[in-house]
Amino acid sequence: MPVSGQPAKMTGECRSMQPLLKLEQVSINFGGLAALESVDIQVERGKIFSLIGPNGAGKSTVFNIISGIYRPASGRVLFKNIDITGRKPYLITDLGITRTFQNIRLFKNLTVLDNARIGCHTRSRAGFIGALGRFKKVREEEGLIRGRAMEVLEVVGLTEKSNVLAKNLAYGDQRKLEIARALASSPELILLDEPAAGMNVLEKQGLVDVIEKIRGMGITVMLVEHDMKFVMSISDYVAVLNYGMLIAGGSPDQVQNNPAVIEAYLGREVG
Amino acid sequence: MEFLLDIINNPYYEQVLTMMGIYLIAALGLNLITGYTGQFSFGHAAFMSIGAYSSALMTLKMHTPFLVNLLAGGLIAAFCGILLAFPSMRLTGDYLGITTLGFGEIVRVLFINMEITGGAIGLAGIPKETDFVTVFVLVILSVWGLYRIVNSRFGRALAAIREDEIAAETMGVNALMYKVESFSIGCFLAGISGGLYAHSLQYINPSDFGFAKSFELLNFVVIGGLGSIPGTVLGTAVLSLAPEFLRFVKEYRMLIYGALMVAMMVFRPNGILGGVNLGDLFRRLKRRTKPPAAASGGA
Amino acid sequence: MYLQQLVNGLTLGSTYALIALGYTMVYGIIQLINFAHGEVYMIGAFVGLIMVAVYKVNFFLAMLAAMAVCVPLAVLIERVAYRPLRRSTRLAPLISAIGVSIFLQTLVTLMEGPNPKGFPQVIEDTVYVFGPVQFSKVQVIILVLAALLMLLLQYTVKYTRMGKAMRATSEDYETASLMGINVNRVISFTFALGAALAAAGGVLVGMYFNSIYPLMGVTVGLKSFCAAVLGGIGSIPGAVLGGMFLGVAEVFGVAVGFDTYRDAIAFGLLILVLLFKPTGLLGMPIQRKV
Ligand SMILES: Nc1ncnc2c1ncn2[C@@H]1O[C@H](COP(=O)(O)OP(=O)(O)OP(=O)(O)O)[C@@H](O)[C@H]1O
Ligand SMILES: [Mg+2]
Repeated sequence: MPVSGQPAKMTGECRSMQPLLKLEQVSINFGGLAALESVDIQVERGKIFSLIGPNGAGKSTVFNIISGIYRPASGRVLFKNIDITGRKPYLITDLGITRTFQNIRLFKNLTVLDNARIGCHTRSRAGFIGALGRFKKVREEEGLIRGRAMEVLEVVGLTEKSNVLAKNLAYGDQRKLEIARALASSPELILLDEPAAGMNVLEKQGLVDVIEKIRGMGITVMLVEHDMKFVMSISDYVAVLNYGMLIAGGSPDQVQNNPAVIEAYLGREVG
Repeated sequence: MEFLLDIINNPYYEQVLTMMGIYLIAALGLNLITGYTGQFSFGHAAFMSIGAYSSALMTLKMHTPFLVNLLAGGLIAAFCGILLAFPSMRLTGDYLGITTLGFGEIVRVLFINMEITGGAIGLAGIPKETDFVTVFVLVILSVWGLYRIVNSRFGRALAAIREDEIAAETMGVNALMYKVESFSIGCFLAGISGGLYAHSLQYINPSDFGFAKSFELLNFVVIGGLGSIPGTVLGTAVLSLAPEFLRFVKEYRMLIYGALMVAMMVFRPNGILGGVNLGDLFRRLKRRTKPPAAASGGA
Repeated sequence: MYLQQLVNGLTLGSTYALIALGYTMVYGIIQLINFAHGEVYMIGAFVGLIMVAVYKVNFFLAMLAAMAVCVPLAVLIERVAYRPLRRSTRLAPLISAIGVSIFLQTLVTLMEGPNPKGFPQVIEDTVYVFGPVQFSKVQVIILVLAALLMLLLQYTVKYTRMGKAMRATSEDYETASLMGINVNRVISFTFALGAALAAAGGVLVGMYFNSIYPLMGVTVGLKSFCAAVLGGIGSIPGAVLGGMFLGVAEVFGVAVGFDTYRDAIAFGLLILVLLFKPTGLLGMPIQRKV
């Protein structure tokens, strides 16, 4: 089935570049419900790509498929031209994709610092023997991990709270820690699932800065967010999902004026 | 030191403390699996029995040195742990628990049916090789090893799995591998503990290692406080000495023991030292014992 | 010959099923392996024995008496040992349950002595022959009663107000309590139902195997729990299926010469099933929602 306004339409300068991430005809269903139907997405390097749509449209499902938590019923996911469809999540992280979760999934009983340190897992090696031996190499690696962890905490502004247990953080800080934890793995692509949810205006402004910083590091951002002002102000490209299908895509301006999008949001009570 | 020497010179105390140390080693292994990695194991005693039988048979049939046999027993238990963990670590929570429990029962029944292990009668005449000092040293080694493990990249991965397995995987942790590793390290300690047990009591039989024993080990860990090394030490000490202290109540002993288990859980569901950071506690105590100038704050 | 084994297996299996139902219902509602359930069954058997041997009542009255003791006992256990722990770590109520187990085993040992006791013959030794198969009267009673009790349970769960509340609670604990269901009462009711079935099971098993002792609940309890998991924990038909399956497998296993492995059969089967179908025969697959 042809999908109108699919994001595959590219400008000339982009066609020469391989997209960083490509979803081809991805479908998945839960029981009888078709959560995604033949979704095509292309995310270009260095851009901020936003995925919007009403509740239950399938946005988080897209993230779950990209990060390997769900396996699509059909279709392919390509990252840097490597087929990662159905790969284990930890292997996908290894390749350079990380994410945050809509319903915060921090390691609650660990400290902020430890949460960030676990984020460095893929970029370090020491195992059980190293743990017992604490050889020089291991100690050096621990030093690097700690340094990296403090660095990403700095990015989101949580350095001060590095020894607090994650569960004792304020809600907005928990969301920031999720971002820091994801950044720690030095990804090329980061998936942010509703990072602004539950944040106040001030925190949201801080978040915009953080996302800009992330882009500044050369990391590509995929964003799911309900706050339209937030999305439209920050995105390079916006794709709209409705009932598991892509109904529009383009620059923030194009999407905002697209009748199909307005229909989708007005057709259902705006949430 | 004086006190320790006194204890060693009293054979009764020595035996009680030796057994406590032996159970402590197994319990520390279980704490790694359940307390740190968050995986249920209701069949830990089976791995003790594997270590006990392997090392005792080596001593009896091959006459190899005790420490070699002990280590071999631990390694064989760890290997069996890997064999069980690979298929079953896909299961979670109670399903994993019941699978390990089932495995434990199967091991017990196998030992009853095998000729080389002496069947239901068991193995007798194992030379007494375990002494208090050996056990004491091995306990220290285990505690030291466990501290190093939990304070490392490896240990953080285990904690991440316990806290949220899906998040751990998306942070790059190969959860299955780590769970298998943690399980087999725990089983290794159980195997060592079993070897010490066999060479201490000099007689073993399959019913020593039924699920009742597995749950006893679990009690030590949970009542001490999941994921707390001092907790496991305390839990093992309190619970393995409790029956000794309760001797005066004679036949009501186990009645009180059962009631005590319920009471402990109801009043401290996280165990005696669960959620207590000993480092913090000491620091706070120190502050409190200092001159009153520093005695601000506090709960 | 095989048909006869099948009958014996089904008889054993229906006693497992009666006990397994208690495990499965409790697990379905509060996700707790109620390790003390085996002891409730054991106490049911002892009450039945005392009623028959000392008070010389008939077998049905003995069974009712066993229920009358076990139901409040189970409700009390839940109140004292589990309810305070509903929001704590998963292992806390489990340890508490084991504590209750040890307590009850010791209590009965103190009162009745550790040795097995015979059950007076209350049912005469009549044997009914149907072609190649023989039913003893006890077997007939067990099969018929077990079937009746299970039907009664099915009716209770499906059609009564309380049963509907039970199903709602096991579906979604939080929502049920928000919808105004008194979750505490539902839980007590679930324990009561399970205990009634276990008490009946205890008396029936006492009659059938003619041997009652304080630790009898341990192995049978574990095997019944296996049956519940085998069938798909939380599922009532699953518990019945699992119990029957286990009973038949065990009887056949013993018949073909695995008698010394008897107690391992249940666990071996369980592990096999779980590895291939992680939620049991009739269990729903779990889709982890992220
Ligand atoms: N594991 C699952 N099992 C069953 N249904 C699921 C599962 N995951 C998602 N769904 C369903 O798929 C649909 C899409 O869900 P998804 O979480 O992707 O929506 P969303 O666009 O992220 O919505 P929201 O804005 O509310 O987060 C929903 O109807 C949801 O109920
Ligand atoms: Mg979502």
